[in-house]
Amino acid sequence: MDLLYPAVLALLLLATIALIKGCAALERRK
Amino acid sequence: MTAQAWLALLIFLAVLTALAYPLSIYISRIADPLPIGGIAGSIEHAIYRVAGVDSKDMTWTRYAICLLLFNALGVVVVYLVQRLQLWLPLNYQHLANVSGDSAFDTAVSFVTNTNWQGYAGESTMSYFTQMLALAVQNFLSAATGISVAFALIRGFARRSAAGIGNFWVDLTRCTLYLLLPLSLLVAVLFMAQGAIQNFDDYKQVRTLESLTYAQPKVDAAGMPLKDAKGDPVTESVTTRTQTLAMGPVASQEAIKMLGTNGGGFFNANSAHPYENPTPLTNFVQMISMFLIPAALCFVFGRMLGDTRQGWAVYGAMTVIFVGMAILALWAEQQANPLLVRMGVDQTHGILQAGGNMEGKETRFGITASALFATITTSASCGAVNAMHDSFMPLGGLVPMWLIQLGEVVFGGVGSGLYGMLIFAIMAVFVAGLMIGRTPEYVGKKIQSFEIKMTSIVILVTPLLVLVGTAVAVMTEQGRAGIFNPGSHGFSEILYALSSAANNNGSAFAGLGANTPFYNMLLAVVMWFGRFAFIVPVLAIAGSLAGKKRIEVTAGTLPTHGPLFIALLVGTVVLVGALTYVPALALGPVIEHLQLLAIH
Repeated sequence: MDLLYPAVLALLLLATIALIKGCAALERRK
Repeated sequence: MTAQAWLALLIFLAVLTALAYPLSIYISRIADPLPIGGIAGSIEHAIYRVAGVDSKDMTWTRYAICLLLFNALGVVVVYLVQRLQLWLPLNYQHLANVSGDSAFDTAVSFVTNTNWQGYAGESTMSYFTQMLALAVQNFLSAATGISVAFALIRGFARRSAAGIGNFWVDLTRCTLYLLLPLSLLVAVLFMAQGAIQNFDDYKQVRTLESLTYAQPKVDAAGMPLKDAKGDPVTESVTTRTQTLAMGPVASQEAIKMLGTNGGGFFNANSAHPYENPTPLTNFVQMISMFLIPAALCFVFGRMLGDTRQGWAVYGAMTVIFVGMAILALWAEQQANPLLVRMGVDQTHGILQAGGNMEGKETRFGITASALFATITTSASCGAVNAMHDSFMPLGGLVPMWLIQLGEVVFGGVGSGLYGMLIFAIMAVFVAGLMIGRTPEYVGKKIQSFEIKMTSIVILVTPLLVLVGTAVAVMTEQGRAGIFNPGSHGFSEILYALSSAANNNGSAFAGLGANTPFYNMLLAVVMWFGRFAFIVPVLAIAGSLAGKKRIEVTAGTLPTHGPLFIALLVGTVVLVGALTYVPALALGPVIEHLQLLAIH
């Protein structure tokens, strides 16, 4: 079983969690 | 437009409103955090006990993390089931394990409620995969969308609250109380009308006549072969046998429409007689696509304690929908100038539909096909009962542009409402700029943070569509999938990226998209089109929930009257037009002008 697609999913997940963190940081600064 | 088309549109809207309003009362009760009694309530609490769910309110960040992890787990499960289906039960046709790139694309597609299908269901997916992987996600992705809509409505409705609801409770209640019972009802109706529901082997039948048809030739990688001019190479095939695919279709068909999923059991989707057997099922399918999105508009009004707000959002959606439906119905009833030149009679009459019948089911004709296309792309459903690729240029522009508006004209279950409410925030912000007041919407001040989040929501999908299209047309792998060179080929790529980024799932076909390049590109686009949209929406919900509700004064912009409906329609249409007209000019607009030049 190739590992490319699970790795891509992990990257997508991390990028979206980073977006959540970024939005939360913006909210704290308001 | 024919009298039949006007009548169909009117009856559709009347039946939709008559069903959606009472359903909204029921859905409002589901969204209410108060416990539900009886047997259903016991089942709900048993699920929480088994899953270890704590049903306390969540902050928006916790809500978003739970939603994200749950959906990522869904991708893993759907991916694994496809990759292992040869060794799993209910694979009577011994269908091979799905390739890694296609399985990944399909997994992301069904989890994000897109249901883009690069494969043909009957020749790729076992019954086990169809039911346990794809149909399960049809329920869960729909419930995820409704949950986010509930969270945003609570953001508007609550005063100085820390939480926006509980994701696990919303997900469970939407699935258990709304999607499962409605799907059961509609599935039984479909079965009564002739949709199949079985686990039989596929049947081989001998046809009455031999059939000869031209089939595009493909290379070993499945890519279309082209001649020196770039035209596709075809081969003539003659056959006297036909394989009739079987399967548990009706049960999947119901949630496919109610959950605005759109992924067909068969490759022909709702044009297939086993999926959509009669004019009645066709009408029920059209109603099913809009039923929950329309009801959620009224849920919004009810939860705010001001039903007029719900009617205003419903009104704005209806205005855009009716305008686009009229354009599609008119465009498809027009004669194709290329056929006029050949002397073909395309006038509408008692004995023929007239207009453009290419790519349409003769059982449904022009009205039921053009109306279905408008509905399926207004809602982010993506089911098709006619081939959008064969529509007239302006008829094809309608579905594509409706998708590009952000799927806010009724839209997907939940996603349509939260998308439209984001446009409402943008509309009051624009109005506030014009009159020099701090914008407010339904009693909540709209401030800098909400506008920043709104900007992310409005910019993320055009960014994915336009950059994705640019990447596809600039790379060899992207251009290799085009069956129709020229402006129509560009339209096919633009449609694919628009469909993926806005989680619609319908296709212009004519594009060989089941390749590692497109499967990866579209999967990434679908993921961010869904979750990079949901995250800022939940952030807005959390921010609004923490605010006080301000009283209506003489200076408050009324958001329930015709003026606000016009402002909201104008905002949606202008943002959509300004963003996509240059790209549309290179595709369907050029095609239309080319046809006029021939005429």
